Amino acid sequence: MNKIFIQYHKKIRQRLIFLFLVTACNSEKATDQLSLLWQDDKAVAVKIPMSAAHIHHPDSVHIFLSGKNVAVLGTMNKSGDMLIFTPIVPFTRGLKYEIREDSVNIGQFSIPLPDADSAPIVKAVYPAGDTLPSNLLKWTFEFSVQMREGVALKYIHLIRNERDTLGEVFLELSPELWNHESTVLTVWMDPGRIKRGLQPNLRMGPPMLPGDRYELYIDSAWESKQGLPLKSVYTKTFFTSKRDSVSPDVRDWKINIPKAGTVNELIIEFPESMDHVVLEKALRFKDGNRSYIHGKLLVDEKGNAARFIPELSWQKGKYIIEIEGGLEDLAGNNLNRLFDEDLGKKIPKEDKEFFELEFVVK
Amino acid sequence: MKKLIFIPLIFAGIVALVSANHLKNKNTYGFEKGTVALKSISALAFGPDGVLFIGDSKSATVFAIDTKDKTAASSVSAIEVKNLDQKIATVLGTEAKNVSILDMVVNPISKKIYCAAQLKDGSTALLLIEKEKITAVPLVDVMYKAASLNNAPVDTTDKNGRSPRDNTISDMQYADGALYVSGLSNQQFKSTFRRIQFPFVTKEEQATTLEIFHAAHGKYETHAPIKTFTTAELNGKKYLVASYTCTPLVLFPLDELKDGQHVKGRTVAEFGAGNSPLDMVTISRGGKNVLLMSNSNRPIMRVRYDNIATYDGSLTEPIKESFSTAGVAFVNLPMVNVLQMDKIDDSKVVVIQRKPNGDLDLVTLQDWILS
Repeated sequence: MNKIFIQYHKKIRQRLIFLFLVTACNSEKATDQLSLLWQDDKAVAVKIPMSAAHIHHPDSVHIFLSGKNVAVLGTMNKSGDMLIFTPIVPFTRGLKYEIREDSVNIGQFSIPLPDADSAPIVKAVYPAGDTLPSNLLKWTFEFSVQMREGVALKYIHLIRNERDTLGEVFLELSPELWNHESTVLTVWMDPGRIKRGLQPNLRMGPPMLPGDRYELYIDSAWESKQGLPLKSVYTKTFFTSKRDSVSPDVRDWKINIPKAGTVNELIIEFPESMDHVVLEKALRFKDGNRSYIHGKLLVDEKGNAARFIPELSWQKGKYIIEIEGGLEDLAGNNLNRLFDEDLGKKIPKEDKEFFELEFVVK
Repeated sequence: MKKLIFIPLIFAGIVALVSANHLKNKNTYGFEKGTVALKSISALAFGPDGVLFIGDSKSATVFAIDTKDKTAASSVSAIEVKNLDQKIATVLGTEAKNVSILDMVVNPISKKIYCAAQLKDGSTALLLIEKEKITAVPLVDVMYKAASLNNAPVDTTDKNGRSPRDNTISDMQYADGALYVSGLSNQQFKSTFRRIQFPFVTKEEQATTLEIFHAAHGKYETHAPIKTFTTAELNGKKYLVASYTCTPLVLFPLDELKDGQHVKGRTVAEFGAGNSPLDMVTISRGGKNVLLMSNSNRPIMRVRYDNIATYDGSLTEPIKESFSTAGVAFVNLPMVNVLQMDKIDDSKVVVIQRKPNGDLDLVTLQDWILS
């Protein structure tokens, strides 16, 4: 609940000041009070009661950032006794605004700072394992709330052997790779440094070396879109194994087949961890008639197993697992090709869109 | 009886009114009146007749809006706006530290400047800059049409909860009846380049997705995301001129960019590692085309297309010395920290530049710099 003080000045000539305490979200009933309208925790409009504010010329009413002489852009609509101003972007938390009629200050309001309880936390980081290939390609970060975009690399660091904070290990991208909700971010290790022979690789070497201890560090100064910093620093310690230069091969996967007549989970175990995020979307299941079957796919935290639970019980007979050719391991090697592949001067071979694995339920 | 005569007349009248209204609400590009609901702004580009394209990564959509801003500018003087970020912050009711500029383009007809800004809270604003005056570009009750970039929509038979992958838009450019859009998949290291016919047609026909790879450093760097691009004509043939992180300049013949094709680019220059290209424009100087490119860690570079046209090699050998350059000759212009760039006309290029004192200014490049 955001409680704010909103102050009206009647026109200076009247020398009267009203002071209101309003509750920001539920002030619909209070027709004589100034109130803010909220949406997704942002103050998207202000409602100004004209009679209480002694407004005579609604067309001459404008909103200003306190102390500024150029009006805030937005639309002013009249609804009964209310003037509703909707700025083109929400008001900023912590700032003060003035209502002016014919350039005379007739009131002011402030946007409260966000509630400290809604400070963001890092919910998950993938890959989750504690031993990762030295040519790891990417990180996925999940946050509890929408984070400020375009600044990620100011706050994400990689430290080697508790000593060196490594520079230029991540790929700078603009725009950054956020999901629609601004809660999941993908960050690439610099592919130019991973791919052998490219200039960044020759100049600076690979981002990580095998056999070292690394710490992924997320600075708590990173703010949510609301303007609250992370509740705490996030760290993840891991060790690096040798470079992974082998494409995943579906023939190496172990399938634990459930019994007919059950809805037990089908478990697919991988000899290495797969990319968690890609894996979640890369598998589909068909029956013997090649019709897709419905169910739920769960990926183990470390990405080394996937579990499929069908909606209807398994029937005796053949089933097919359809796997996207783009499914990657942690080094970005997909089912079709290695991430760091010397293509010579040839056009790369046609990638297979899907691979298939068959199994029989008994 | 009279009533019976009137009913068809009234009906005909209603039909005529509805038809007239319908025509009024559609224009030659198939636009319809409505509200453009943007989830993000990733890139801007102008098309014909004052049509502004807005690339929205978050909704994987390109919006084409009729700005109605199509009165040709009678004379254009140099545009200068000091402390642009502070001025934008004031009209957005916030502080400059909350504002970042996403893109800036010049309407080629009116020569007015359109600028997309983003606040820390993720809200975006599309603004029109006329001298010192900054106003909002209307997005409510405007004529527009949207084109979805998800040309592989979710298979309705797929009940495993898969959804189309997120894509970002890195740059857009309109040329010869098509909008070109470069992007990157969020989850796989895969760049995309689309040619979207304009006027937008049906969803099934509208996008051609290409997979490009460019030659660099003796290897073929597949799937690298294009940072910025432009189009140009060389020896009578049209090319996509693109640049990537670590700054290779790569040419792709436009007529070879066909759906589903792997198109091999020709690397004609390496402009130095440790740098990302930010923006590109092509201007004509004395009948000769010139490419200007702004960079994250280098000044604006000027490249003469004549030199590109006569350079028939392709760089395939790694650069020996760190940060050095190779290929087509270029000139570093005395203009650094340029974040955004577009041309007003062939003698004026407007840029957004971070000054040494920290100010963010809108500046028109002097004629003598461009020559």
